[in-house]
Amino acid sequence: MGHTAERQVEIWQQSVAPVANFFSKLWSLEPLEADGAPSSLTRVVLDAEVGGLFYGTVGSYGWLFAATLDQQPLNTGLAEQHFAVAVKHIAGALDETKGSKVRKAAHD
Amino acid sequence: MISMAEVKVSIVQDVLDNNVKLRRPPIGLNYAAYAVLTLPDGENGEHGLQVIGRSSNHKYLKQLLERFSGPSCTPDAQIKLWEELLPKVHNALALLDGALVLAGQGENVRAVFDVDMGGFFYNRVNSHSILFGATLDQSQINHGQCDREMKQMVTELQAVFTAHGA
Repeated sequence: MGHTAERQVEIWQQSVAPVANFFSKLWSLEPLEADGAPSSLTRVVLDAEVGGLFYGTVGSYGWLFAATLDQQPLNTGLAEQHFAVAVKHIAGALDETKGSKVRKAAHD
Repeated sequence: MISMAEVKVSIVQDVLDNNVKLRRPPIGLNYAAYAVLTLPDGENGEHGLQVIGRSSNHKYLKQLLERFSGPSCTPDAQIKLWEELLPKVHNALALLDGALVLAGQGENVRAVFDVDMGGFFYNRVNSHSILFGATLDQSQINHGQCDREMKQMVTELQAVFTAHGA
């Protein structure tokens, strides 16, 4: 690709907005279920010719974006597993922080 | 006399049915469709998609619909929604490809969309055809079963086109 790691990260940072827009656009394609009930999109995996991109909700807190240039972990599913684990851990940490604050507020 | 095109359509249908409709036990994908790109229309320049083959496991899908959505939802209605979704996903991905040129990672050849209840899958088979799959069974997405079935079908379809020409 002929550029530095820093430049690739910069490019990925610029890729977040288009991917987020894509995600929002698809989310607006409801209903996705036959009873007309809204069904929320929670995760998108974009497997490109070289590596891929991941975008998903972290509970009700926000979003996680991840990317790789390595095709192998996409082919084996390892990258998706890592992304799922990262989402789970971040959501868990945020839940814990939120719980601590609620407990502290109740104590105060 | 059966034409080569008809033979290919028949083989494509067999690939879909063997991996979805006839899969025993009935796990993984509830629905799969193979579609070819048609010429872009004049208005918006977007490619159209013509579904050449489709397969579904109605019994399995019906069970899932009854469990999650109630008996009023039919497999046919769910499949109609998925088929309506297919061109929208395809065109949204084409737009995204354009926006991500700078990333230098090439076009998206596979996409997984995980929703609250199940998800759907988009795989490029070659430059002018795609495979779309869907399920309402979330556990089959979590365990990677649907992904494996999609990859299996893509491999089989690519083998068909290698043998019989795209």
